[in-house]
Amino acid sequence: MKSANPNVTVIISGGAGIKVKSPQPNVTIVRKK
Amino acid sequence: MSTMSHLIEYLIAAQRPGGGHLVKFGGQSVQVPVFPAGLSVSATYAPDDTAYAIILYYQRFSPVLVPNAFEIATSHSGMQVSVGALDSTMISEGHNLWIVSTHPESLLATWTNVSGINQFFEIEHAFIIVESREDMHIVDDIIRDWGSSSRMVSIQEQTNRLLEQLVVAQGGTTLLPRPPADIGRVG
Repeated sequence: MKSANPNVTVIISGGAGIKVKSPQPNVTIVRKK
Repeated sequence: MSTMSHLIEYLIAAQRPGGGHLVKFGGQSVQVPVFPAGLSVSATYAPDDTAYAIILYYQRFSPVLVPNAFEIATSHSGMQVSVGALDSTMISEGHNLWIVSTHPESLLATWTNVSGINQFFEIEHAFIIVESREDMHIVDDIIRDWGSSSRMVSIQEQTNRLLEQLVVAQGGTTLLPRPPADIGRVG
């Protein structure tokens, strides 16, 4: 059965000077080196 | 689009009165390799410790995205600035905005996969990074004066001088207007 709120990985790159966050607990933000 | 891109070119080329670039360009990409069907993903954008403000002026999308598979919404301080389906026009041409964020969590982007299946998602943002409040004042001045001709500026200065002479001639004192920002250009 599919979860109602599955975990999601978001990959961000670049963006010096910018702070990115997600208010959702099931969203993981990964910064690409 | 063309006026905005000229303004952005001007801002990125502008120098502070004391030297050094007035603003920086900040590009950022966001990828969601597996975006589950029916799910919304939200992210907030704010200046980090090295910046005073970030200005989001352009979004573009990966050309491999499926048209109408996503809905995108952008909010600024609780007000929805744009919302709609990510259609083929937007995927191919991008999306112009002008959102200034100085506080955490004031700029919120929400993407929703409205297609019935998992999708790949990628978006790129173009920002202008402003390091200090003083720099932001200069940016504001540039935007305020944008589109003014040198003849218009000259007439305004002449009018100010005449008004000042009138006030002084009647025994008053004057409040001098703020001088225009002394902005140099690169090259």
